[in-house]
Amino acid sequence: MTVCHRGTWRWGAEWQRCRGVVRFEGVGMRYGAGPEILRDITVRFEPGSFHFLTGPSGAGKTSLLKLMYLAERASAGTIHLFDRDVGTMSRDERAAVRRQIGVIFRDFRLLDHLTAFDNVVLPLRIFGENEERARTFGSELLRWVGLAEDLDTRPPALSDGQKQRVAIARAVITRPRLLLADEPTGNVDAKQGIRLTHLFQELNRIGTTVVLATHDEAWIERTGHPVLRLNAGRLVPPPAQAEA
Amino acid sequence: MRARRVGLGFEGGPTRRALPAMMASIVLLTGLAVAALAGADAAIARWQYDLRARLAVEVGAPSAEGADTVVAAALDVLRGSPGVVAAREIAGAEVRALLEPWLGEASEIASLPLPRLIDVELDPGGADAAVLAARLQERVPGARLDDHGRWLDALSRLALAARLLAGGALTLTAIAAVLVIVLTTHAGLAARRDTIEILRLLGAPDRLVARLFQRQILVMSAIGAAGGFALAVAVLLVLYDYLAPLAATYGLPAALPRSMWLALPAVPILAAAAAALACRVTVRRLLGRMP
Ligand SMILES: Nc1ncnc2c1ncn2[C@@H]1O[C@H](COP(=O)(O)OP(=O)(O)OP(=O)(O)O)[C@@H](O)[C@H]1O
Ligand SMILES: [Mg+2]
Repeated sequence: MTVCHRGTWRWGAEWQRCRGVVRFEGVGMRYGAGPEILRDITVRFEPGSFHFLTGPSGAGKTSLLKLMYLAERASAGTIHLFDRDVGTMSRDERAAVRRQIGVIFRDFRLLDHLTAFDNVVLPLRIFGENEERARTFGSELLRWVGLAEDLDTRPPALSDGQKQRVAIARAVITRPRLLLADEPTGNVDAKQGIRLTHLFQELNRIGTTVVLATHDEAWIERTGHPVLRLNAGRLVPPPAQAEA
Repeated sequence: MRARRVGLGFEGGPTRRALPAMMASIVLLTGLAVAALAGADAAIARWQYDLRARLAVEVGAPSAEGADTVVAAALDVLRGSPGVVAAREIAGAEVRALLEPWLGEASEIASLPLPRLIDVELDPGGADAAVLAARLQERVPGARLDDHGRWLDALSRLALAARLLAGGALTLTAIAAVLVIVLTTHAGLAARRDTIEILRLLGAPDRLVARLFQRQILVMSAIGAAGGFALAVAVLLVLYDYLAPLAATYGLPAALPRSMWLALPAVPILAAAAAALACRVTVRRLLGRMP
């Protein structure tokens, strides 16, 4: 798999092949036999970019993210992740691609029977990462998101804001190439929100491509990152202008 | 290695308690069915062997002198026949002793004209009682061979019936066992569908997810199966202890049949393997529905 660093796409001989971390071409999507809830989505996220995804409730933000983390399949068009067509990948290859993507789910998707700590280091354990490193990383990250006291607490005993921070720690512990977040600051207070924004900025600074779905217009204004607006399953304004 | 450290699965879930208990009862029941089948088989085989290996030739003669000649001729024919290991006349006193329980006091028997009997020991594999009977009939009129034909027929039918019955019970138990194993595993995994999906979304390859659950199912069912096996062995030993004093009287095998000891350990192994296989298939199917 071609590795696309920030910049290789622009200058390197790999230019033709390195055209984005995420590339959608005419993508449509439907749940089962239902109506098409995403239509004709063409978009490209270049390595190291930071995008907001916004739009009214039901516009398809979560669905678009699901396509990116390979939880759903497109019903039309093609999707390239890290310059490979996901439609032609084997199951194992799709699993390998998922390991390079950190996802902060709207509903957290933590494992209730594992402690906060075990939830956070789960991706590292799936990777087969050295256990000692996993321990160091895990407790460090949990301390950083303000949950040093809750290492051994299980999710059912955590508040929504705390769960969200566990979910964020889990999503970033692998230093993913692509970070996808669905309303990642919806449940935390303003101070925590700012802290988390810094976390995302910091990850982006070291090369992670970030896509954040949010309703928070103030946050979007403040950071000045490019915005993709979805409305009723379509990108507005037209894709060409939405590209950063 | 990796699978163990991920540290996931049925902790505290109902499957953790249900699966071992269910495995134990299934292995116990199936084990007893196997033992019943092996035991019935061995007992019947033993009876058949006894009947086939021993024949009696009865010589009825008008006079004692005539009888002597007939007995001698019959012994000659018998000893010269293939498959006959030994043939000897049963002395009058022995015959009386044999008849005593049926006819009463020895003094009265003494006055009866007793038949002369020849005890024939056969190699059950190499002798054909019918051929022997025909040969005797032809060369020594007056000597009659009792080949236990009717007994053997009845016993064969009994053997068949017992085998069908025990085999049927075993088949039904096995089918029920497999169904229960599959359903319990399936239910346990369905309750963990979320876990499977999250693992998948975090990038776990199918084989890691499958291995993770398979290992746990295997450990849980192995514990249950071992318990059931121990229980089955204990039950059989106690049962055998009760049966042992009766074994000689009814011509039962003197030890639990070897076929049973060979078949019995297969039960827990097959049961645990079935659980692991069911787990594998179920996980793969659940995963298959996820893109
Ligand atoms: N699992 C599903 N099955 C069927 N339809 C679905 C499913 N999930 C979402 N939808 C439909 O797809 C459309 C887009 O939903 P989606 O969750 O992507 O919107 P959203 O932009 O994330 O909304 P919100 O801001 O409320 O989170 C909606 O019309 C919704 O009804
Ligand atoms: Mg949503």
